Amino acid sequence: MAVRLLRLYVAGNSASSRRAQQNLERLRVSLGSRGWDVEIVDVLESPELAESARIIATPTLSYEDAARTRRIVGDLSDTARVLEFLGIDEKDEV
Amino acid sequence: MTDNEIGSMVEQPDFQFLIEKNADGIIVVDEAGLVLFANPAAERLFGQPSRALIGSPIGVPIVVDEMSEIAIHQPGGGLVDAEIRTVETSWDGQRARLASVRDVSERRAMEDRTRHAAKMEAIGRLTAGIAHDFNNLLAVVLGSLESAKRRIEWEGSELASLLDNATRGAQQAVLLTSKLLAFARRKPLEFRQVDLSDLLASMSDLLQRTFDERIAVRAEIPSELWAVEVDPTELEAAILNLAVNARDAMPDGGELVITTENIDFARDDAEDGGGKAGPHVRISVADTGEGMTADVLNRVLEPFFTTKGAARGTGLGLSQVYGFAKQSGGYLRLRSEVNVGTTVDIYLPKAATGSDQKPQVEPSVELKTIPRARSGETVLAVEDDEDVRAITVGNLRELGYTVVEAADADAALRLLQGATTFDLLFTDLGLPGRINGKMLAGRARALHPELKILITTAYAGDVLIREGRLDPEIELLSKPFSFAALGNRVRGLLDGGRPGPGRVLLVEDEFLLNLLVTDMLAEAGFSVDAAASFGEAAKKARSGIDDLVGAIVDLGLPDRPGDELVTELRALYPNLPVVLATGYADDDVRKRFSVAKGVQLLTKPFDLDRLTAALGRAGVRISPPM
Repeated sequence: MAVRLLRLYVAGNSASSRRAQQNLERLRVSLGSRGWDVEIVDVLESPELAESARIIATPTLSYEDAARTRRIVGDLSDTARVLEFLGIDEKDEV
Repeated sequence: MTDNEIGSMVEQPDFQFLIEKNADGIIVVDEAGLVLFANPAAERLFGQPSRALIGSPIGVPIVVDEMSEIAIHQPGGGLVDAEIRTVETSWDGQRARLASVRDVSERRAMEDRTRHAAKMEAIGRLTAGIAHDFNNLLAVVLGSLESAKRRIEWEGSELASLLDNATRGAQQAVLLTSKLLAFARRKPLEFRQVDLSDLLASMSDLLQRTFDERIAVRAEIPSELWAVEVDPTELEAAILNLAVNARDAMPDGGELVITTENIDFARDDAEDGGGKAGPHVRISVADTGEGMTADVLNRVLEPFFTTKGAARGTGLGLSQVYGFAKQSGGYLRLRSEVNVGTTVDIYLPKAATGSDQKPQVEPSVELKTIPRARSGETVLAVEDDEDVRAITVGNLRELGYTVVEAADADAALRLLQGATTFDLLFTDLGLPGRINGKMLAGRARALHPELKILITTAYAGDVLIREGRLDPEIELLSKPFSFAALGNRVRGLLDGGRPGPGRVLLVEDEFLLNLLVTDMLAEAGFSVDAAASFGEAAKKARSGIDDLVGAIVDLGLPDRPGDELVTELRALYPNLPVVLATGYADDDVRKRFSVAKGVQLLTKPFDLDRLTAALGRAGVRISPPM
């Protein structure tokens, strides 16, 4: 299976950015290491990346899927719904 | 009534109107995270017109609980803190999310400022406390230096100039603590006539020494500048702010030039309408730095506007300068050119003539004539420490007394039983062997009822002051004592019977300061009852103090505040003259404590002259030096 990519766009070290990163870390744990790459992009450090991805708010989690890119905005507190929106069915994965 | 019921009762166009006019940004996002709708507030918030926003892949907003915090990235790099709330809705028959987005950056900034202000407040309080304690210590240092200088005055030695240096240093420290206190309290501007030449010269000196050597500081300050009426502390802060800005604008070095000029706009014609007519003094701070674009120049006076990184600037520098100039009746002018430099001109109105009151410099009071011995008067000096004995004996001989010395009580008693007639026994309290100074005094008194006795001690605080007073007929002189104090007390005792100026109750918890003030009072001829706390002083006062003519009370006592003691004392001794000693500034005390009518405030550190002057103002009769 091809490696799939989760990209988290944050802005510096703000409280919501930190929370999103912590929540994403939890998500990774729940997903296990099954061909997922997670990449953190600080839009303050790499504004060009944010621009090309048309990021207009942070934290934004982007699931770079070949078929279609799904994107959610918020601090990712609700892990179950985050997974659902990313189209990752935990049962499928098992 | 449920939401649905409201929904059915309110006309649809009303909702439309509400959404159009809502202060919060309202957007609709589809299942794929694309924006379907944005209201005008959202356009402002995202910094994009709705046609650009629609179709933007913002992402599906997921909010747990009430709301989620996000940051909005405007095109061009602007960052806005926002809170987002969502509800499920349908849009053109498709499932969608309706989100309201609230700009909270203002509130955030306010919270930051409040936090910062609270921190500054805490630092202020801490600083005030330190300055207060430090003043107590300085009082001791300065007082002791003064004593030391008096002792060596007749020698005119190098030591005298060393002591002068030390005194100057301590006086600088007094200035420093007063600056700390000024910083610590929130004070209104204190307008004073200020000599700009002096102030600016010392500022430029300071800047040259503190800045990187790649920055040359030059000051062109004519001496015949008009006087201005400003708060000198604020002016210093303004110059410092400008200088720091200039330095930061010259990371690779350059020149910082401070120039001043008298300008009379009535004659020279104010060049633009903003300039006020009339005589002004212009202070210019110019640098050869990066300069500012017109955009930046337009905003630099805004509070919290800064081009410096978060770690370096508060954005309060220029707004302080602006505020200062305005409150002083003047104004600012800024000129800047990119890569050439920036010049800030502060125009301050010339002080009104007639009010040309320079701060009164108190003439240093020459040493009063210290009373000398009458011929044939003999003193028995008892002191076990050889060095101290040598100094004491030397002082007494210098005062003209015949001195016989003894190193302990046994030797003293042998001398007292011998052929020599002594007029005065001057003994240290702590003597080696079984007999201490107090016991020696008792035995001497038994042998010679007419003998005058003066006991000296460096531990008076422990032995005498804190554990009840000495027998009334025994006089005490605290170490370290000055030459003048020794001369006055010995003379006073020998002239005995003559009523002295009376007894003063001294209430001071700081041990060294207690000793020092006791010494000062003794020097002024007073007898002293000393206490270290509210409780102790109140107890003494209630048991009755003979011949009490006044009290000196430290404001900050360990058990209860000094101002309450004043009330207590005055209940027992109506109209008792009281001097309230404090390490704080005058008006602070008046604001915070109840200062009874007729009570004099005395700011630490003080010297003998200021102490007696305060006692005099409070109503204590000060006897001229004998």
